[in-house]
Amino acid sequence: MHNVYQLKKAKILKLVRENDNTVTLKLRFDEQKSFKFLAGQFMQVGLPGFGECPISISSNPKESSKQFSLIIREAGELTRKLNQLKADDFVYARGPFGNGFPEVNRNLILIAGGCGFIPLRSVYEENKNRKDIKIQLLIGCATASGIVFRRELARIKEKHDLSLILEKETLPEFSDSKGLVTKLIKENELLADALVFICGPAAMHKSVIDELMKKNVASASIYVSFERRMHCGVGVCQHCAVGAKYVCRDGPVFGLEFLKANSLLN
Amino acid sequence: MNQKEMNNFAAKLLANYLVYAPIKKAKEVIIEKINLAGQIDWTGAMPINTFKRVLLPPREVMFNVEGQEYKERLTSIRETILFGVNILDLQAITLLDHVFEKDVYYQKRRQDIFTVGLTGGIENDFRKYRVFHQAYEENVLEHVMFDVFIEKQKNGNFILFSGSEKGRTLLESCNIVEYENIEFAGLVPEKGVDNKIVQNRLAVENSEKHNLWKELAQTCLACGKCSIVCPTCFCFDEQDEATLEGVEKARRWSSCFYSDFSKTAGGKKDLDALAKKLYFWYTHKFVRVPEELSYYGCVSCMRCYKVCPVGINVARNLQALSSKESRK
Repeated sequence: MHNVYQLKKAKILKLVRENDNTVTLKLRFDEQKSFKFLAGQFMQVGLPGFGECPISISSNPKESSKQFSLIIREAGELTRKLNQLKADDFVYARGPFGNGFPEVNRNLILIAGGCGFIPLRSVYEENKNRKDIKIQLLIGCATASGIVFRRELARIKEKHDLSLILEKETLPEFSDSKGLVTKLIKENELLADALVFICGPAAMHKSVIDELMKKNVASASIYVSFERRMHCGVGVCQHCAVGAKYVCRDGPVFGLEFLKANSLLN
Repeated sequence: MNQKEMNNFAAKLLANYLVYAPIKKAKEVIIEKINLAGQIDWTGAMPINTFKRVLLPPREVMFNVEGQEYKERLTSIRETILFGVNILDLQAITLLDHVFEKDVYYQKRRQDIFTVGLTGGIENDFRKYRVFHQAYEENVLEHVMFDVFIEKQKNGNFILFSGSEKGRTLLESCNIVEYENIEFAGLVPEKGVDNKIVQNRLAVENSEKHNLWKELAQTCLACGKCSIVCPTCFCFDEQDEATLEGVEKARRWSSCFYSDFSKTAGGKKDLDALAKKLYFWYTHKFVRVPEELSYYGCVSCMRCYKVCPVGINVARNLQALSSKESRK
């Protein structure tokens, strides 16, 4: 019987320091070839003695047979330790878990708050070279030092319609004004007939969705990726349950209807 | 089979297996490991504790860290009989069997655990508080999983049923050939999901704004006793723990009433109010389990009420939630 809790060793091929408290780990399992994931899925990631936590996969699913990336922001003991690793060190992971984002079959708007771009990056990477759809990115952060992929976002901006705004300061390369990501939704013309994928702190969901509604975005095209405490990853341990569903197994990506039905927009 | 022959059967089991059974102790019926067949309580009274800790130990080691690997640790247990399991507790075990269907640790242990059910039901005081209306007559045995089932008849004699290959082997190894076979017919009866499951789900689902939760939060102590004593509460934490032998990954019973249950990176807690925790506990039993298995997430044993220091009564709360006037 397959042991769903079995963590496997993955070697750090490359480590990129994104900012003071965030690293990108490019990883490879011993048996990387058979590893597959969908954009929006996550791994349970751990280190001996430090436990596990869920981390979104942020690399291109099409490159899964060679490597995968995890972007790790320090938020507790485990993630602090993960931030101190070096190339050729090992991390331990199991997964992938969750449903991932729906298939991108039309234009795509990605809305991120804080480090919310981390799970969205995988969708972006998968679709960035497509000629049949347009991609728009709207990103809000508190401060410049909190931006996870500052250099990368500048590169993305050259290729796609990317707007970034900071709450507490201005950043000439992106925006002359301060504000929240909702301001970007208000002030930008949104792509027509687009899927909208949102990831950010829970406090952001309602205001973002309210703005999207004002712009007549169809409810059925809005999806949100959630963060919850998780232990098992397979819908048993109950930590991540919301209403009738489990964020780890039935999510982490849910359509707007789910948010409404479970009073998650209050 | 008369009482003497039944005691012989129990004695044969005791000679070869570890046996847990309800016994009477200080006016309470309690499930314990027994040494003598004479200890068994045959009244069918609801024990104050459950068989849960045998099936799902409060702490269990899943992996040892050896060198650079997490090494799976599957421990064998001595063959064990859960004896005298009442119908409600059999339902709870049936639920655990389904929830942990793909769990290597549970399944490994489960191979060596036999369930021997016994009619009886709930002691009289608790009858009026029943959440579900389960009558023993209604083909109930076809929809619970058991190895052997003992029906105590009014004349004091017993008849036996087998519910699995394991059960038949067990009976025959004790030279018992007179028994009836019952085939497990799935969790859901032919006539459809128990209407009470449907009704309770309707009452609980989307009731998070109901005043009841705020009212209960005024008295609930969030002690978690209801979770520990509940035969269908199975949530757990999984954590790395340092021991003298090195690092182990273990899982432990948890409770949604505990403070860190929903804590995420940065300290945010989704269940940041007691009213939310209470609603969460009820949604597990009356919404999530029925959603997934169309089965009982609460078997109405009323142990939670019995241990609750402030007398929170699940049956009364379900009534409050389903009464139209109270719905907001």
